[in-house]
Amino acid sequence: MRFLRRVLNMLVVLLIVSLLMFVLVRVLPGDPVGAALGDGATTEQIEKFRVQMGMDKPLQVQYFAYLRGLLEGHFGVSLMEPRDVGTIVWERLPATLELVVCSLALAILVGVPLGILAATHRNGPIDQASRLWSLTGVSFPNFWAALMLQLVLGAALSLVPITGRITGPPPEHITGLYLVDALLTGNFRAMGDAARHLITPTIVLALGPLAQITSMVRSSMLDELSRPYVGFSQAVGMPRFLINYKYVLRNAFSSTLTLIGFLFPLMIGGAFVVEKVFAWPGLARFGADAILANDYNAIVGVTLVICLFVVVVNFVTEELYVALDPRIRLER
Amino acid sequence: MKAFSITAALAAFAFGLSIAPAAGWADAARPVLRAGLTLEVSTLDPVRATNYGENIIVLNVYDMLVMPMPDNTVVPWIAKSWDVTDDRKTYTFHLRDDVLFHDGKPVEADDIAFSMRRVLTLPGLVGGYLRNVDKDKIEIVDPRTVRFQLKEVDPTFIRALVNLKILNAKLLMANKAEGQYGEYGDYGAKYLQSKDAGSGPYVIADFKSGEGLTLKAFEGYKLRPFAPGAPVEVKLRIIPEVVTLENKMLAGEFDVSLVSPSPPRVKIFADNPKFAVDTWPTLNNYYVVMNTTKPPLDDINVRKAISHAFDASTVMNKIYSGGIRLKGPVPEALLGKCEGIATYEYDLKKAGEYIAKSKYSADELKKFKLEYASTAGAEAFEKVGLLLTLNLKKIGLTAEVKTVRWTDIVGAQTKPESAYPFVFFYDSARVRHPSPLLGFYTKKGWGSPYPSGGIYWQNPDVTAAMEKASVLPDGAPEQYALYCEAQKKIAAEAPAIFSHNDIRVQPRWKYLVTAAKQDGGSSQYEYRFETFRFDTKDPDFVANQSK
Repeated sequence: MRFLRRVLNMLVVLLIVSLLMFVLVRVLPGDPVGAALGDGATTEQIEKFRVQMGMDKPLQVQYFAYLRGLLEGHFGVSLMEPRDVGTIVWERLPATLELVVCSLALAILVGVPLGILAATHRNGPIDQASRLWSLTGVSFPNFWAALMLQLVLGAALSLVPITGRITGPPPEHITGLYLVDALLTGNFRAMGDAARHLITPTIVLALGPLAQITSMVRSSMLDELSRPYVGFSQAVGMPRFLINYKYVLRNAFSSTLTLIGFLFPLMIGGAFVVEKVFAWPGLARFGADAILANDYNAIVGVTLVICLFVVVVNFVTEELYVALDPRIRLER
Repeated sequence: MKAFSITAALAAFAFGLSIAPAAGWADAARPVLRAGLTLEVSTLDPVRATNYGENIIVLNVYDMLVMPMPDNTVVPWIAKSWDVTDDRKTYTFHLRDDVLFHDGKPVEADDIAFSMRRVLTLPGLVGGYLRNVDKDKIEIVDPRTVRFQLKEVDPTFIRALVNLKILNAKLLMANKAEGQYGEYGDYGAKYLQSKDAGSGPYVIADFKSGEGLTLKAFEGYKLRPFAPGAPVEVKLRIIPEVVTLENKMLAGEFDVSLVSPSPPRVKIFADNPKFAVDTWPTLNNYYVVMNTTKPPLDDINVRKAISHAFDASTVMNKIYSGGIRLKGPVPEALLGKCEGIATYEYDLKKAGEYIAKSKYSADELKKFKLEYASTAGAEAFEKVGLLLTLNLKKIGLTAEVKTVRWTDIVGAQTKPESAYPFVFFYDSARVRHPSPLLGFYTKKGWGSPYPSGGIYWQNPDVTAAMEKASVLPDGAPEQYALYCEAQKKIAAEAPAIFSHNDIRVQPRWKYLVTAAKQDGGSSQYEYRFETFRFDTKDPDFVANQSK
């Protein structure tokens, strides 16, 4: 019952977002039709196209037609690429997901241990380095870091390809995530190829989150380490490793989990700089282009998909809270 | 635990091996050209193609009735010859009989007629070039002869045919989807989003939206056979960021850059002995359109003052990578010798003198707040605006740079009431002829949303000269004398600030011995890749081809 109610809440959020975005993009100035058709399009052709796209109808009629389309799996036709936005999103989402998941994994795998080490070695060299890193990591412009890595690792050392997802033929399409598809089909050549392409964009996208996670783990751990039960556990001879990892980290991790829950959808929407510099054919780049081109359906479609991730990740995060801390109950 | 460690080490080693760069071998007999496009390829349909990348692709996949040549002439191509009636309104084209589409079908008159009807029916850029063709009077005389009737005399018609890409009618009709064009369905629009129906030197082997495409040489191509060293495969990748594209050039992942590098980066290529850097003036006109219907820009003296306050030299050489000063709407390369055109060198003293002559007092002028619309995302446009507004302040005019989305600019420019006081545009010569560029300064050209959108200025002498020129044989000296006259009248009244034609800078690896050599306007004919040549024995070629 609780699950159903939460799913219903998610649907309501999505509905409100769709309405807001649908209205907002249409009331903003600018005529995307003329721009989409290009110079030489006559007024008659522009009008015809407007009718064809349903833009001649009242806003509420357009909105309900859009909702009906959504139920049938159609997001409307993009003005930039005259195809259904759903198809484009479906094609591009795996590229962004693969990049974001790898970056987040890197940020967690490096950031959490680094935060723990910094907290357990407070004011030591590791702590100082981690604090410096936390400051510089969030201050690094992605754009600059990306270009530097391209120049050093790609152009100068030829260690990694400079752009793209893959050089050779991609693995057989199953999920659209090249690493997963390559693994499932046993195509290790494609897997290596895709992995090489992932190295630099993953590092660049992970820089900011890694610094944030390190900083958050460190401060939560320090809070937790100052609690009386830690001193008591040490006094009774419990091993330090056990105290830190089994009790302190577990109690300290809920705030980091919240942060990770926020970071994931933020990274999907915010990956456009990395996708642009690395020519990564992802959803974020498509969304940014859609805004510049005032492509109504594409803007709404991309926003809805990102919003879907926000609500799903929030849902999962809240469920994880319960697993981490049994004192928390989502339902009385 | 030990077993686990060994397994993990072996797995890491295997993964390391799998991600190590794979060795490759270059095939000297099958050179591959690799280059980047900074704009997305949204369509492969010749009618819908708008940006330079899409134009380059369709140029290589399709052929035309005529082909432009570097000396600014056009030569027969699919058409082996043509006849024109005395009234210059009826053109009959005789076709070659050895031109094949990529599916092996010969190119015939019904394909030409179909392609022309399609261009004139579907909305898009190309239809505008050919709008004088009467759609209802396209006649298939026989399988090798087709006739077009013009609604009015058009001196640019033959040159505009460069934009008519010939499509395989039978193939498109076999693949038509439901649409609004009756028996033609959607005119094959859906099919052409990702596939080709052409007869050009290359076929589309692979297209991935957002990533790029691969072209492969068409083995049945006879119009200009592939010579040794010509690329038999072309890989074009979408690289939205110019600096990234330059990095790929430096890494040897690209052979040539289809866009000019940013000015500070040109030196990197020029200083590298492995690269050659070609330069040539483009036909891209850079200019600031002024809305002359609104005060104070309705005053010729204010406009002249503003033209003198525009520091074209800094714009050309500091903001852009050099250029040639533009004296009027038509670049010198298209107009030929035309002397006596008014020029407005950067001179704030002269600007002040014109301000003093204005019908508006200094106090009145101060009250106007002139907006300079800068296209969002175009950093150079913004810099030009900042420089202009700074200089205008020195002569007592208040202007500010406003960043506006491109779609909003084109929307605003269609009406004089909403057109911005200043918009910085660049416009490529879409047809290599003065007439379309001058046409914006007659009433017929008003209301265009695109460059030169926002010009609402006319002069009866200019209109008369343009009308007279239109009925003269294309290229006749008298015709060009009239265009020169029109250019002089326009420049004299300064309805726009004519800035410059920029310089195209093309870095290429030296093993690519022949690449583009000069500007072809928006038809991009200089990028017919079958004319490119590799030195396949060069060690850098061998090393780079496997990257």
